[in-house]
Amino acid sequence: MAIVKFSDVSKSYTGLETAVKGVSFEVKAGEFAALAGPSGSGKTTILNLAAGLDTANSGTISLCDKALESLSRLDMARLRRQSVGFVFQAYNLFPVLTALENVMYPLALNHIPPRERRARAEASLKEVGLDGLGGRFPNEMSGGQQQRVAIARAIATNPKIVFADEPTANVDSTTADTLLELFQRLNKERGITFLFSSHDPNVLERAGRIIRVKDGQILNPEKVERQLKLVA
Amino acid sequence: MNSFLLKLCWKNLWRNKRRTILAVNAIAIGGGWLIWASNYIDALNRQFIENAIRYMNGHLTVAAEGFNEYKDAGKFIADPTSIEDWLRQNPKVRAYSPKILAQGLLSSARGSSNIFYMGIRPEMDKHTTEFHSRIVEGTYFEGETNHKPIVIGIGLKERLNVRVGSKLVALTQGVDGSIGNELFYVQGVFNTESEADKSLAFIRLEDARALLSLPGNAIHQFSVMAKDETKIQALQAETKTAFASHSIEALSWMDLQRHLMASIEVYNAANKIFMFIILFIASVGIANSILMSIMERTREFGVMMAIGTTKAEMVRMVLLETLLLAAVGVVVGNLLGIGITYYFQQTGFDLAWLTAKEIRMNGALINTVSYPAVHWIHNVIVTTAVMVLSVLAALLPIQHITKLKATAALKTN
Ligand SMILES: Nc1ncnc2c1ncn2[C@@H]1O[C@H](COP(=O)(O)OP(=O)(O)OP(=O)(O)O)[C@@H](O)[C@H]1O
Ligand SMILES: [Mg+2]
Repeated sequence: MAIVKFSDVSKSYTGLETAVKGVSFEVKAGEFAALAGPSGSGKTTILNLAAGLDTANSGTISLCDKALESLSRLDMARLRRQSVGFVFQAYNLFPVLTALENVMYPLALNHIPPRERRARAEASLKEVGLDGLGGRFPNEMSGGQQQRVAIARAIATNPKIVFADEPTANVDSTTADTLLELFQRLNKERGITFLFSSHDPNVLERAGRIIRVKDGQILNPEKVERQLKLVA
Repeated sequence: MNSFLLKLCWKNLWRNKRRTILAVNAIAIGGGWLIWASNYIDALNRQFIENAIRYMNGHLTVAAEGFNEYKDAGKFIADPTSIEDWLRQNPKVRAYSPKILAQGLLSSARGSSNIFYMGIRPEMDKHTTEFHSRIVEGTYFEGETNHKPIVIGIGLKERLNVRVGSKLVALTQGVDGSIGNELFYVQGVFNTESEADKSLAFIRLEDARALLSLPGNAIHQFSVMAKDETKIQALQAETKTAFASHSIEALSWMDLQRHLMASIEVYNAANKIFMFIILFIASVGIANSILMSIMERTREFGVMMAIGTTKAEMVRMVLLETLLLAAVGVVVGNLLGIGITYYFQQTGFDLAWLTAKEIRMNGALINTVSYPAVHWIHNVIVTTAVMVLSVLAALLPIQHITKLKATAALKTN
């Protein structure tokens, strides 16, 4: 079952250059997929389109079996709060809230009652290895710890998929490694689908599948998959 | 909106403490000042009214029908006995004073002036007006005298260039068309620092009657003070019914002081306009503070949208933040307004700090010291106005939020 499905999707910001050209691909449930490509190749654009944060000029995108172009803005927001987690490169967290409160935020959006909200947020923090740090504010934590809080927030609502746009670009390689390990563990143990972008070979090494993007296009998708199969 | 988001709004409100405190101060000082000023204006108005009552006609004037319009000396109460008996026995009446009013010339050897003569029974008038307490030279009809005494204002004294004991000639036209011509001796001089000082003279009731050639025991009017100010209208109605067949008019001080009431209304209107301007400036401060705060947090709104916050929820958060800011300001403002009013209620507020002299309005004397009281209505008005204006102030930040695109917001740092 495909969680994300792009069919011939194009996106142009300016009307002149095209950021994404005729992209088609699928991310199946349980996959651990990476978008790889140089700067400006269109990774962020693809992730934003997949999450419904932006709209395509042509083609169709479905997320969790819903055709995004037919969803209202409100339904799109509901779909995101219920089924999607998001981790960005940096500045993911609300600085006025503690780590625990940051994780509680999407649960509050989903109207989870306070007691359960707190319990689930604490469990999430524990899952990312931040047990006991819930009372800290973002500026009292390292970059890696902040990313872990962002991950805890992303998984607190039991999403079907987590999108992560260069989640390790702002941390050192050791921290990047442990973050990726965490992603992998969540993928395996909880069956959460991941689609993340990166241009770091060490990070990409861990991907179950690499979708290579260049100049807004996907490079020989079938060939990539065949290669991966061969490797496996 | 659940309590979690409310908490987030509250925390966001205080992330730039300096800016928020500045906006809170604007509302607090503006609101507090307005509450105090409104209470003070109320006290001042109250004082205008008190003075109009104390130095002019009392709470109620009972006169021959049509007398008050032109003070026509020919319109007198020929036999006031039944009215006087009624007033004396009425439990609502605290004091009353029969009066005869005449217009005419008052001359000394050095000059003359066109004035109002007020014929009174001094002992009775003491209980309805305050002139007796404003004597600066001589006495207020005290002691035996063979002459006809007259008590004049200090302005008149200077104009006529006379002293206590000086001789004055009064000249009027009697109601029968004859010329009234009488000799008076200055017995006292009053100083109210008002128009009355230049244009008013008191003589005894019987001397006034003689001057005007009024028949029998005729008078022009009774000035009546009620025991309970809130019962003036009831007393007025009672008087009207009691003397319905007597061609009598009973007018309250409000009926007589229409110009005073009108100017009070003008003051109140001016205060409202002023209030609106002050609060408008304060709400521009709110709008500015919230808008800046929202702009600085653009990326956070991007993250909020990415993780499923709806536009409606974000709009509500911005509105709530604005209302919280206004609420904090208005609470402090109310406390300030009440505090200042309460302070001056104890000590009295002296307008002489701002102006050197006593203040006059429409000839009525105003004491500069007044004792304002807390009138809750002003707290309600200011609070409501601030909250309504803050909703308007939220419109600009809200517009920014509704236009915000998630992808663009996420690009900012
Ligand atoms: N808001 C925008 N307006 C105009 N052009 C844009 C906008 N956002 C992206 N682009 C262009 O679209 C193309 C793809 O950009 P995108 O951000 O998706 O690349 P990326 O692969 O995420 O790059 P990076 O690795 O640097 O994050 C680039 O050519 C970029 O200049
Ligand atoms: Mg990018």
